[in-house]
Amino acid sequence: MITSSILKRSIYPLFLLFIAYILFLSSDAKTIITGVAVFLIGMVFMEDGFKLFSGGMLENILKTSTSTVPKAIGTGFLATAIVQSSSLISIIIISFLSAELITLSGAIGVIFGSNIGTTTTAWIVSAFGVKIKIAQFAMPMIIFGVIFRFNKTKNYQGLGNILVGLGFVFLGISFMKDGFDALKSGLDLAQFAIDGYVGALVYILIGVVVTVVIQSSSATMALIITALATNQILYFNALELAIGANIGTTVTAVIGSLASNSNGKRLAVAHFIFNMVTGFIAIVFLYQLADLVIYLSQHIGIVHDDYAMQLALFHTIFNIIGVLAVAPFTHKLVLFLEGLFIQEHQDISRAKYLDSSVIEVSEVALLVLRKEIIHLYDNSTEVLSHALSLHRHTYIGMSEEIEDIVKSSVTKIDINIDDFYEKKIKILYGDIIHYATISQESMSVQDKHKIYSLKIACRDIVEAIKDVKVLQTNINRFIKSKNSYIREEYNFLREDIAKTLDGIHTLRNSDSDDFDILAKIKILEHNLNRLDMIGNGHIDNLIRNNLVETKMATSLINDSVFAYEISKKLIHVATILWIEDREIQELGEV
Amino acid sequence: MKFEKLFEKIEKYFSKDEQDEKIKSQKREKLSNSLDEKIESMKLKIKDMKDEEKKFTKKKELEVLQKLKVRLDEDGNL
Repeated sequence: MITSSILKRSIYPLFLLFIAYILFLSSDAKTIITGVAVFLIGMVFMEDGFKLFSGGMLENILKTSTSTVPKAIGTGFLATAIVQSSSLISIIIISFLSAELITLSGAIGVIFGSNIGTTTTAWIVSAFGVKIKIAQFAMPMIIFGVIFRFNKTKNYQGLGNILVGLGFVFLGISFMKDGFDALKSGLDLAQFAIDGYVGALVYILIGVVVTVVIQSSSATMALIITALATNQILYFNALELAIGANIGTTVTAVIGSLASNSNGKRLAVAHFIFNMVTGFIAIVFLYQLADLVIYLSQHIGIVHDDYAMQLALFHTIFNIIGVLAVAPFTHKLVLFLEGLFIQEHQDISRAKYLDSSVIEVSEVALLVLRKEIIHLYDNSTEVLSHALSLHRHTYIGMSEEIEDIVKSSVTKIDINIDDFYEKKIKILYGDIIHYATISQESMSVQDKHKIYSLKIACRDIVEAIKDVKVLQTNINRFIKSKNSYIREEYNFLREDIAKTLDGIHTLRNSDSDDFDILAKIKILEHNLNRLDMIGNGHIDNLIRNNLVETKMATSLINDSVFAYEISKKLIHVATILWIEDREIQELGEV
Repeated sequence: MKFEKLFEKIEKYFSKDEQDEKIKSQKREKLSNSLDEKIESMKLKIKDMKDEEKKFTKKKELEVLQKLKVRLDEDGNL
């Protein structure tokens, strides 16, 4: 452990020294490396731009279009081809998988499709990047992109980032091309070409290493294509480098998944297996695939000496073949991965869905936060029910009359609410608030409002638990009281909270739209008026007729307020959690 | 004088409050329309309902939405 840590710490400075040495040694290499750096910065800007520009659309498409493997493959392909970032798609998919919004087979399908989608980068670079003076387009893109970034509208900011990103990507390609052109006059890298399968293995390994180092297969592909276009490498070696880049990108994913949950690991291994199988097929049938590329090139109008375009075609073909070879076994792969990484035993006191890797994708962060608060709410229903001397499974979602269940449940449930709060609520509550606070830093004003509401929902849940603690003492005292009047009154309080919990259960599980839910919530809210014991003259009647002692009456007045507050807070939580449309939510608060 | 008026017009056009108010009223109108649609579809649904208990619950929900609609249109408060 210590050795690996020392190794890690010493490799990084050595790597920096190596880069510095190359920069010092050759100005051409400096231009190429600058190109890679600028290209990578461009990718980062593009990714950020699409996060802002899509405004949740991308997440919605990915969430709803993965029901079957072919559909998921199509979705993965289209999404990656449009946003030009397989890593962004991977992040969203892992978070959806963690939040149990999509199945593992759906997620694997998206990753398969994403592998084909990412090959469009090679087409863009080979079609535009190396054929025209691309830097001329880069400059206006960067200028207009920066202007758009100053706009207050989220969409314009997103568009600005995309333009700046694309501009930098083009500029990076231009630098790489210029660097390789200049390098050719001094040093011909093609002289180091190696034939045969030994050469294949060497170049594949180089492809893997370069991709692991620069953490982007798209950047590696851009590097390979520009090197090929300037005749610095041979065509076959470029094909081998492309196979290496494909494998290299999964190494990064596997390393990244080590710290994630079982779902993250399953997906990373699925990606690794897919790319290894694809790579293996590509190596074994390298020459046949090269022939296929030549054959197809003739039919789609790629000229015979346009090796850059042929490389892009090869990249797409071998990924499609990989999908065709592996996709039919998705179900078996899922079973294997589920056996390989057993779902950790869920500790209900800890966060289930808060994934730090998606914290910067606003829509996804909001989604997982909502899921986690529902988890907190579900935990709270246990303590709330027990404090009322009820078991959740006996009344929530059951067809029996709650009134009867409450009357028959007179056995005190021994629960220490403070202890329950410390063990099952407090840590989760803290995790949620921490995540919400960190995630809101990069959010728009609208999303910050949503985060605020979610925090309020959390606070209301915790407050309801604290209120029920106060109520618990007298409930335990009076549910077995010989005075049937006070017993009935406390049963009424229990019944009311139980009805609220059951009502919320019904509305969240019904197939209703936001207006239906709002109407149901308003009815629950209206029912709370019954708890105004002073207002409805209930208490007066009990005291006047000497049905309860004055001490009991005052306890009842206080406790009815607590019961009212508990139900009111729970209803407010339901409004925030189960009404999606913010305007409809606010309409309910008028 | 002309310039002053021109600047005033520009300021009004770009004024954040003005824009916000415009967006708010558009949202309110949209919400009111969709609430109208919902109320009408609920009325039709209730007509076709045979289960009396369910019909009663739905009627109560309809009443709630009708009250909210009146309040939304009268107060314009969102």
